[in-house]
Amino acid sequence: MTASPLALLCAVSCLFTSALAAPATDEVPPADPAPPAPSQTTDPLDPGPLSIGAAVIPGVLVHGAGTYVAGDKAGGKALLYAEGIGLGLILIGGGGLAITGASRRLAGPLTYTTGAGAGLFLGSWVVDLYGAATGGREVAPGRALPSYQLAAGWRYVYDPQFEYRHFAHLDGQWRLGATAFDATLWQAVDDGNQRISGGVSHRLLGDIKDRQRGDHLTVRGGAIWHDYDTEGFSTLSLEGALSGRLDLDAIGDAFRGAFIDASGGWALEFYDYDLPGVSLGEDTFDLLLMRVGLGAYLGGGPYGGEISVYYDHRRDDLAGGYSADGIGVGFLGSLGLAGVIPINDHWAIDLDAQYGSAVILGAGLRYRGGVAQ
Amino acid sequence: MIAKLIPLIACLSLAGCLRPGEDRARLDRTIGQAEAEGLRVSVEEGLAAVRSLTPGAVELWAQAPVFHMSLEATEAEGEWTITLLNGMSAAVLTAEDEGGEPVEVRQVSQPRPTVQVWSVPLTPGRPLSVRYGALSADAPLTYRYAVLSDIQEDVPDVGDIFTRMNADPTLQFVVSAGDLVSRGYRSELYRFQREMEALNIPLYATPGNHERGVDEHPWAEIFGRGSFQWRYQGSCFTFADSSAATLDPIVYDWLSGWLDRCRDLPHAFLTHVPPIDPEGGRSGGWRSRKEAAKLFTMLGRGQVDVAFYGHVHSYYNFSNGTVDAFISGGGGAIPERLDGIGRHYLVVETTPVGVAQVGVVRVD
Repeated sequence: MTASPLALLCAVSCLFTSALAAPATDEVPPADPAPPAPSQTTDPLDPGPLSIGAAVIPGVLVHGAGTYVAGDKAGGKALLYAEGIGLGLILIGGGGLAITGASRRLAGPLTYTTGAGAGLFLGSWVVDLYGAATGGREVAPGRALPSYQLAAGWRYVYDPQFEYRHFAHLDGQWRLGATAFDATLWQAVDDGNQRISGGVSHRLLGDIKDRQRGDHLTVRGGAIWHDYDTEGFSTLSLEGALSGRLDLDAIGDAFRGAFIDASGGWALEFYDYDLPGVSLGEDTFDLLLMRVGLGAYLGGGPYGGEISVYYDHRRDDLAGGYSADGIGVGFLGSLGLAGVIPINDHWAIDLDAQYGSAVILGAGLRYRGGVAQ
Repeated sequence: MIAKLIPLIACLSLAGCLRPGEDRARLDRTIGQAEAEGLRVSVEEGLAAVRSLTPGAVELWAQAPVFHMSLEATEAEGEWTITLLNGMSAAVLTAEDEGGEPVEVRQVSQPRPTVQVWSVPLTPGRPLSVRYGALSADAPLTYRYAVLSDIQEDVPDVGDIFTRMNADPTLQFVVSAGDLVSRGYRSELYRFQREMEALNIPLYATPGNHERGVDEHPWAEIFGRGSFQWRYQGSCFTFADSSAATLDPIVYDWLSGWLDRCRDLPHAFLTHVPPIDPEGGRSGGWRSRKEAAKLFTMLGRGQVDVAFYGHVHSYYNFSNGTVDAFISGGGGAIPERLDGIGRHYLVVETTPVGVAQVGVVRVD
């Protein structure tokens, strides 16, 4: 089941040879996307040390204070409302979990509620810092979605429970309009460990071509095969999720160039152990999927670039979950940072950092071509 | 506030929280070892905690029905009083010198069924090898024990459960997957010990996440190791400290050896947090499901018969590979609602060939 490093090298070479040979350049739209429409604010925003300071004190408690001081009063108020709603959802979800003793009948919805609340509560402060520091940035998502993209890179994974440390990482996506097919491989080069995932997604809402905004709503179904040859087990996961993105200029001029991501779904995991008499699926567990993130567009090239920080609730991947101490132990997922930084019209640098029960650091090269229609 | 932030910052510095159980595992290595006031005590595998060592007297908290230790006077000859807490009423203390010659040990008193006081003569330069346990404890037999976990804030009412247990004379002891108290403070643990005075049989436990609430690890000082293994009537019990929703690599090293030596014996495994919560919407399991699967594979290869978990305040029976797994968190902590379970404990019957029966005893 484990691919050899040589086979992997061949696969990478083939992928990039194919990418370089692809006649995509003439399809690529102009490199500099049009900036977002001018803001409706009559007074210019004034971000600086004062607004940043306000985002810290009293902003850490009164979210939106920094943005308000920077001049986007509507945006600042929106963040304050978001903080309040977030706090309310945390109280409802967390309180519900406590009162019901995390009842199996209600834990899923209450966990989603708590997660959404925590995302709004913490996110509104991070967005306030962004608004206070930048006053909004004249940068937009790439105008085109690539019809195909390929990425190859390296990941360092430090998990004290496992021997592996270095992974080759391959990632590809092929898009046909609103529908996209994706595949990813993590191949340990110093241990018997291999993770293969694939899926198909469909954009229910959001522009595909000549994009002005990055907003979208997408449904995805996929599967993950993860083989731990050294430890003697493997897992097969089947999952579905609904994900979305909202460009934050929708709620305030000071947030131009930033976005929020959120997704939720469910997975069914089938376990297979290298034990006599045990077959795949004898142990089957379900898993709640939830992810929230905040990011900023970087511009650059027809496809643009972006960087985001996120929280991922799942604990079945290489990153695992964060080790909160005490009462909350075992309930948290991982934190991450992901970036795609364009080098030119086609090439970009991938960045990946995750922190849960393991630390993952990685980088790679990404080639994007064609224009999804 | 700043003191609380420092560990958080240390965690966020990436490496700080990747082995949250390491300090406890290292502490386990020190349990049962002491030298002071003219006495050197060394409990094999740390199966008893040295509670106090004063001139002429040592007090131990037993974490196993049977254990061995070495005692040696380092200054002067004389009689030493050994007080055994959390013991079995039928257990005895026997001693022999390095040449295998028996040394007379005298039982001074037994103030409660679980407390015994012994007197042992010690001479400098003549260490004694001491065994504690019932004389028949090594013979493979059928016996019953109880499993009780997650009492937490309900410590004042745990006496109800102990009364029910006392009414069943077939129970040999209680094993627990932890969360005996709410926060793990020293005062809470001693309060629980006082409640245990109403229980006529010993209780052996691994800590839960609610015992991680303080930094100074009073659990180790009061109740001893978090991860340990012992053998009784031909079957094995392995306790693993998952109070941080993971097992430290040090514990995995121990576990590997423990599984090897109990491969052909009936074997029960206890840990607080279920490696995988069977309810995925709640996911109150370990921080990594891959680590959980690694454990299940190890337990399967080690031919473990049954696993007992706590943490979830209800009752579940499911499989972890080849291991029959139970979650039983019915000691009185805030219960899982809408499950129709309530306060409960398990009664397990073990035979020389395996686990014959696991039953639920409802308390309310």
